[in-house]
Amino acid sequence: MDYTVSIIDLKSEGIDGKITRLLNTTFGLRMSWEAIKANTYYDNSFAGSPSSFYVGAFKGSELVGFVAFKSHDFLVNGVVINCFHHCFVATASSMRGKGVFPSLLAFGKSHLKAMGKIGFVYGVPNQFSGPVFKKLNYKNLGYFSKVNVINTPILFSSAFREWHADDTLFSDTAFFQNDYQLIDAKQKSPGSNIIVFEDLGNLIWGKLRRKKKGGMSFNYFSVGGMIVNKPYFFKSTVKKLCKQHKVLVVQFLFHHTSMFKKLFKRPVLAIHSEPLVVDEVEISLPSEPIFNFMPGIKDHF
Amino acid sequence: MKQDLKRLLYTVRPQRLPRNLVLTTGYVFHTEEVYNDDIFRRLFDFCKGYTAITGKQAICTVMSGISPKVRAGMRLFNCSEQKLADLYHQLSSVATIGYHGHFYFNADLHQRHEAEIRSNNFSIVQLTEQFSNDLEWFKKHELNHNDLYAGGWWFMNQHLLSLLIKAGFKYDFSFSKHRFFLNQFSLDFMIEHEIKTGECFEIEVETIGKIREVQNLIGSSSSAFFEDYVRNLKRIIHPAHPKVVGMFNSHDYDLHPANALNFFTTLKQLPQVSFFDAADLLDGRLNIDFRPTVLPVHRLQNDMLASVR
Repeated sequence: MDYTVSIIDLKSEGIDGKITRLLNTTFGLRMSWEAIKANTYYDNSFAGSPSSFYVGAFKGSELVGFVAFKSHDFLVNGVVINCFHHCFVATASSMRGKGVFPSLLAFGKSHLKAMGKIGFVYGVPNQFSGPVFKKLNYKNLGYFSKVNVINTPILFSSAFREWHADDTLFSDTAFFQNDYQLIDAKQKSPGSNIIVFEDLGNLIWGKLRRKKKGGMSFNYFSVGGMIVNKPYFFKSTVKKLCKQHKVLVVQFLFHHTSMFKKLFKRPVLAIHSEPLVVDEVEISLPSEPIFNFMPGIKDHF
Repeated sequence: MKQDLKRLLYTVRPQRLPRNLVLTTGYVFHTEEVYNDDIFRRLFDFCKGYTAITGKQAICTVMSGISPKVRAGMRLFNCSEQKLADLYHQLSSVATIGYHGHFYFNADLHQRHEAEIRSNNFSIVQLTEQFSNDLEWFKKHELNHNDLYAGGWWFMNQHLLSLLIKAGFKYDFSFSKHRFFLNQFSLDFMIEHEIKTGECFEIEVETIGKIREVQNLIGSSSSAFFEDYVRNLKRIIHPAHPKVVGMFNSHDYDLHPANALNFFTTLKQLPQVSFFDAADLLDGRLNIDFRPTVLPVHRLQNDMLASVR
């Protein structure tokens, strides 16, 4: 092995430039260091949990591999489980095929084990990194489901399942994303434009975007997460959101095991979305885990 | 205009309580803003009026003076902790005091909706700490909560039940089948145990203890139309369970005293309606069956998580 792997010291001189160069070269981007850091590093002291960290592969003083471990807590039955999202995995082209990627992940995992009390690491790999995670024995927990709610008289209502008096939306075994923490993290990203909408105890947060289709230009709302306490009123909450922000389409994406699917009539599997892959650190996932995850858990949302 | 239409509607389609309904009821306040002198005076006078009509005392579940929501209001109205406690003591001369809890992921950021603990998204650590701090405040100010509880935002779950039981609470008024007061844990529990509207029950949290539940029926705060209350009540009553025991509820800040008192005056005149208060419950004077239910202790635990606690 002609490289060494270590935790990146963010205080070391010039490291920001090295990370920026490696990522921009690898992904063909022109991101600033500030934007990269905002997407990959979250100081979780806000919730009293460990902070994010970076792992680097170095050939001499040259950074030839990089992965960010972004700290995020999940909630299960009131227990806060600190987990890490590995993202922005990059290997310099000259070093490909030398096992840099698995070495970075293995190093990160052993660091997490040493930290103790860490639940799992997770990723949402693309078509290129996906096979590597498979080789590394990550659990592939499948795709996200999608519902596009179109705010027109007939189509709007047809998206929602009728909610009956004996329907409930409760679980003491499901993993919930910590929206309180995610909103804080996303709002700290420059220009994030996060909107938090609350109505009768239901909360939906996400980003308002502008889309062009067939010569038409319209607002659509991409949901990052939601807390649904009053499912009976969920449909009217979405309607109010559309009205307030003049939205034509609200896009809901949630992991296919999520209980949010009960709210909709026909969620479809978004097979072009990135799957959720998980590697357990300190916990053993049940055979059929329920992940109430939405796109807000992803670094690039 | 809306009022005239309603009047017309109720003339054409009168609303009456079902003949076979036997209603035994009390009143519980979610008391949150008495640091505002106007609201305190209104609530105080209302409680006296309520007792004059029904012969029973209302229950005012109150928030501690260290709740961030209350503290923010206290600052605005220049109300000290001692003054708030004094107001609660004064209130206890016309109503029975209980505890009303609101919990947050981070108390310092209570104004953010996402920090509110309402249902599935909660943290046991925060819940336990805030619950215990609230009760300390009651103790410090020699305020008796009379072992009565009502949940803020209707938040309830197995962990809060355990905390209440361990702290000696005897009665809880947080469960409801009304769509505005639904909590997903409470509803799930009532469905699992086939508990109908107005059916009292006792929850035994295995290895911890028991607490009694009296359900909330409907809110009673603003409408001038008796028929509105009847219509709302009829919506949640189960035909197979016409013997309904439950609470009417209101916040202190959105109470319309005149309309609410009119409502109780009309209700009192109905032969099928009777009233109870906290003393009736606590002294066991009320002849009510509390159906036994059990919450298994494993609902409080999760083996999968043992290593990360």
